[in-house]
Amino acid sequence: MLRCKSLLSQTINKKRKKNKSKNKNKNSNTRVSKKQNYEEEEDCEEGFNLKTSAAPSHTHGVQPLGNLYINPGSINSRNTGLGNLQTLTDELVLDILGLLGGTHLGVLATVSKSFYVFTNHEPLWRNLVLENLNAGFLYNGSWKSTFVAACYPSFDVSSVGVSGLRVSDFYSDYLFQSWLCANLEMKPEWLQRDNIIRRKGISVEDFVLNFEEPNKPVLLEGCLDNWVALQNWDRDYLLRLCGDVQFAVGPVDMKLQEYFRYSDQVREERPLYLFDPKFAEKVPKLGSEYEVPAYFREDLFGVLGNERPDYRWIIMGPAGSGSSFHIDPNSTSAWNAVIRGSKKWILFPPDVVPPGVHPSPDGAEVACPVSIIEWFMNFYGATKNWEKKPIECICKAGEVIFVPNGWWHLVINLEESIAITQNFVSRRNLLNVLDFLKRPNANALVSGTRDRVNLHDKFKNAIETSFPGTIDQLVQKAEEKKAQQKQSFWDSVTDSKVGAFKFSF
Amino acid sequence: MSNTSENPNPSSSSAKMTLKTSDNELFEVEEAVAMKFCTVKQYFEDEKDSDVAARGSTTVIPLPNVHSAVLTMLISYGKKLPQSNAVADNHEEEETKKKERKKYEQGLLKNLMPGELLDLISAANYLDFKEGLEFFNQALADHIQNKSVEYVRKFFGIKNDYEPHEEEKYREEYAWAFEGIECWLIGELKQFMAKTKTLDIAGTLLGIKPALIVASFSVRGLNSLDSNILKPEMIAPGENILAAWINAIGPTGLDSNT
Repeated sequence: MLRCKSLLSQTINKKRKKNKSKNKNKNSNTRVSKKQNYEEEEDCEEGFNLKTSAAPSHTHGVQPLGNLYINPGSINSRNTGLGNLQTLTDELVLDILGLLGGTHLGVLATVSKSFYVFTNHEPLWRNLVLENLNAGFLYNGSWKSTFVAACYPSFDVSSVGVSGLRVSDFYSDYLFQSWLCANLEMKPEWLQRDNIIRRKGISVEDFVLNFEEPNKPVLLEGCLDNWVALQNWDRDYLLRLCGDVQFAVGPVDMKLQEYFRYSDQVREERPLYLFDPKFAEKVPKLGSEYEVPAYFREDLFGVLGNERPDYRWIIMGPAGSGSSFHIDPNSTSAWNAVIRGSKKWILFPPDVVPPGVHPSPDGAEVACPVSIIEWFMNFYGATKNWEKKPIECICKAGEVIFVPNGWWHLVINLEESIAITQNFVSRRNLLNVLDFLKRPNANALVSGTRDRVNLHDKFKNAIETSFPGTIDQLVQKAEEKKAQQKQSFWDSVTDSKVGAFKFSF
Repeated sequence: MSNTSENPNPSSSSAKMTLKTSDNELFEVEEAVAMKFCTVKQYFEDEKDSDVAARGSTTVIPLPNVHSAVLTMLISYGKKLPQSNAVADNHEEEETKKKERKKYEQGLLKNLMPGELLDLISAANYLDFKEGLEFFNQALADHIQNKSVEYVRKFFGIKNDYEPHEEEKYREEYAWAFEGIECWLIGELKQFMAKTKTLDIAGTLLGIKPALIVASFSVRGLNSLDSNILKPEMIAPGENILAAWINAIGPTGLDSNT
């Protein structure tokens, strides 16, 4: 069996020639869910490195589709094993399998080797577990194993999923890429660029003037020095404090100890991320062991009291977990403080859509690659030749990053990490937020609260009550600014008119 | 400046579009229905922007991956879906339409061959026809759900590529799934058996022709007291009788009664 490194280099070289003749089925857009855009890499020569604990090749021997072309005369056993189902794309086959229950998925595995490989696709089992077992489940090495252990407790789970089935001549881009993204190491060159501005010990005025007002990101050092959390929060401490508290993990709730059990064993494209907006309410001690850094104390959504949208989260996740490109909701700004571990950040300004990302015209939906690693593999290279590069950095324990409102950002944990993040509204972006909340499709865009449609009015009234006249002041200021800019434009026009007049005369 | 006189107003329901299939057949489709095929919608919107739109509504949209037979079915399914630009129906009308659609869907699926269903799925995917794709995917999944391995192989025309010893090994690995199916089957059977039967008592019926045949074991011949009377004097169904009584204990107190 060829080692993965050489497999991919070969694939990519062959793909260069084959791409013209290959029948691409309207592949120009990525869909919101699974469809992938397998574009060529400019720097393919180095190949890829797999995680040290990964197997050297796909569990069942799946190879990328390109390899089919280097094997003259070979037949794709994917097709023979699917019968007339072979005319459907991998995504469609998986969509259909996704509509079946766990029992039948298991039965189908014995239909043919091809079906075995398809039905063993972990995301199928992950969905079954998350949708059907939200009463609680114990992750058992793989999602399939977890499902079987939970639904058929009398069955000896140790024999499940560790099968030695290896198929020969099975070529599928989708299945191969899925495995690859789950097992890939971050390439060092993806981590090299670090061009964010770093500051330590600046004043609040300095921050507001140079970063908040002009809406620029910055990495602040030294503002967590007095956080108790920085000393205390490690796995053991948290387990002792709140090991059996349920935290929000994606679509389900899990006890912290169950989550750690999962994050230790998991190896998948898009690991579940612990992201809880009510952590301080659930465990008040956690809320007491950190404080908002001085720069971000003005938080106007506070006027809404308990009716304010979600604003603070504790974030925990294994290496490879994170968030793909998005803009924070409600037009708020954010700060993110790393307490343990380290995160790689990539930020694009509001008017620059990152490569590979396709927001819908109203901004409610964003289509982008399924996993963060996939974005790196296929789209990071595109930014190499841009004049204005994105802002990047690695944020380590004890550092805080300021994410200005409207900026696209992507985060990936480079190791197991614990962090706290808050979104806020200050006078500087109050008008933006009000505008955002006023939008006609508020109920799709506004997030973090159940009262989406009325939030604008509620918020505006609450501000008027607590800070009367503020909004009008800000509106006035903004109009003055606009007028100033307008004036200079007309000045220039008049000048040139005079010039032209002179000339023509 | 666009030639609005040639371009039909997109919101008017009488506007039609022409679609051309892989076998060169032309289909005239109402715009409301054609717009459900997002690929077509995209093409139409692109055309609108370019100068080519000036050619007018005679633009033919090519669909080289869709055969006419498949497109016919997709269009008729699309017509049954609630139209986005239709006037909002009241609740009753909505319910009737829903029932109609369900009936239509059942009829459609009954006569579908596996190959046709797969073609429909492929085409719906190519056309980016979300509702159609969802419906046909679900239909396929429903069809193979809880069926045996042999049935699935036959349905898709798959030749088993497992060696016998491998097949045994993997059946063992998935014994839990097969058990699950057995349990499901037994459950279904039990439900079926537990079904209660109801008697539909029609009362005394006269004039039934032809008259029922008397059972072979019934007595025939002359009445012993009066030879003018033929037996049987009174007759009732004597075979396959389902008897019922209202109390917990039958009239004889025995476990069974005839």
